[in-house]
Amino acid sequence: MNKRNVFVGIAAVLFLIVVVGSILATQWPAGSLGTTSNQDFGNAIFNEYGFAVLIVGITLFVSMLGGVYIAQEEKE
Amino acid sequence: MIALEYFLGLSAILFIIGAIGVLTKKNAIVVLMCVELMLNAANINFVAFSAFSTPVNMNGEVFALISIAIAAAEVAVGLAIIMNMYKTRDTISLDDINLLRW
Repeated sequence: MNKRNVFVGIAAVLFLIVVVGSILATQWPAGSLGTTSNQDFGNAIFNEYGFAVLIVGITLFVSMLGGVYIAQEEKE
Repeated sequence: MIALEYFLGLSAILFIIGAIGVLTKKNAIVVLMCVELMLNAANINFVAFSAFSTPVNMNGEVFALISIAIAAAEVAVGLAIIMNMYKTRDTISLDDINLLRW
């Protein structure tokens, strides 16, 4: 175990203490775990967020093209 | 009935595991997996806050799904870059790849 890993571990423990402490110290608004239906999810994603889904599709397509272009075997 | 704090605590622990992995690991694929851990910690936060919101709406779940799709795009390009790196340099150890290091 080298010195960098020790520093990273100490920083991670401090960060965990800060985050969990702030989670526990915050007074969250009272609410309960609601039930959600898949039909509502489908309506929300295609009615309200249809344009975002299209943009995500374009992003996936372009990243697929980029991945194939980077990883292809070059010809001699 | 699970309280909201448990979801947030799980998310914080997952995020820190991912951050430790990114900062300490040498293998590029392991670093990519740790980045995915951090993204999924954020997704847990989105879904937890959305499920606890009143009145019930679906914004958090939809945003988590979009985030998963963007993560998939990122992994596709990242794995292609790692494959190219292995082909040209015969290593994926991040200590040996210092081409872009200032």
